[in-house]
Amino acid sequence: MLKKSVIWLFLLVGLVITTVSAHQFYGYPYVQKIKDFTLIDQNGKRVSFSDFRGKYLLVFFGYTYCPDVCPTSMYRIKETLDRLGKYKKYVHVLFISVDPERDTPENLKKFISYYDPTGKYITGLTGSPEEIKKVAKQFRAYYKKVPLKDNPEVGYLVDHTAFIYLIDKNGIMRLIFRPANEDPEKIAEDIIYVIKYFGE
Amino acid sequence: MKRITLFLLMVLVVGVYAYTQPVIRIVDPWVRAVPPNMKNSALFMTIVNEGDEDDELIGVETDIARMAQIHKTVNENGVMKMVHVDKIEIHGHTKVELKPGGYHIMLMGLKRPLKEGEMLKFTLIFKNSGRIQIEAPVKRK
Repeated sequence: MLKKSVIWLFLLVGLVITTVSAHQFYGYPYVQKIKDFTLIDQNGKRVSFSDFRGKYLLVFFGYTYCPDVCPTSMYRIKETLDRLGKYKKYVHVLFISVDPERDTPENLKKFISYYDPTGKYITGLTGSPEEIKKVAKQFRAYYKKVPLKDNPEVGYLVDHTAFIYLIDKNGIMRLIFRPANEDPEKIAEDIIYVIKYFGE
Repeated sequence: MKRITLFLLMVLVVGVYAYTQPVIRIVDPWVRAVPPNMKNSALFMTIVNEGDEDDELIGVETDIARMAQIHKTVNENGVMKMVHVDKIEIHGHTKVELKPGGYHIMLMGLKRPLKEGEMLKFTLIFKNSGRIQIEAPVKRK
């Protein structure tokens, strides 16, 4: 009961800051408590969303075979991290695969280490198709396999939503960045604002 | 007199020929550097048509990938979709930009990992201008 009222308080506070704050958000303000889930990381270990409590999270749904949208988005995320300065250490990125059949932990590891050679800032997550489906539903992330004709090499692509979600350190979604939000500088400004507001 | 007539005729022929031809120029081509295990990448560039006539990019050949196709990324209510297109039209005195999130040449089934900074060869096939050879650097952006 107490827990529930605390959540409501958070939602209320979130609503108030998004309406009265002087900061013009670049991203789309959206308040939603994310329910805990467990997936497999790039090292093959099962990790839970709640394990990242205390960090501000950037969550992105994609897949490693993705030819245009995911590399563009991952590059934008990398550029954003590079602009966070001293706030970078409070931020972590979750790349959640929408192609769990092909995205093995090994594949994810190679993919994310390209954008984060230190291995400190990005976690790749995969799981069973059912697990992924459940997680994606919570974020209203849509994805659908699209077979490619005459192309056994690639086989299929995946149409998917390409939003970057900002989750605060208590597991509550605060902002959604759309593909049109191309400027890493402005994304970083939003993130820093949110970190300052809710505390490091 | 005969010579002058011939000359004028030649000027006319060349003039008409020059008028009807599209003049294609490729500006800043680049290939996206991707993680070494990725099987796909994309080629981007700006295609400028400095001529009067329209032209169409109808195909791309390369040794680096098993298949190169003209694609377009479209945002349909937030869902990013890849659409295979047959051609890109470049009208006279206009340009078309191939860039991330829009038109691109999708390179499918890379035969080897790409190295940042290396130059890759491509042959662009245009309906009117024919085959144009280009070299594009691999860039991380």
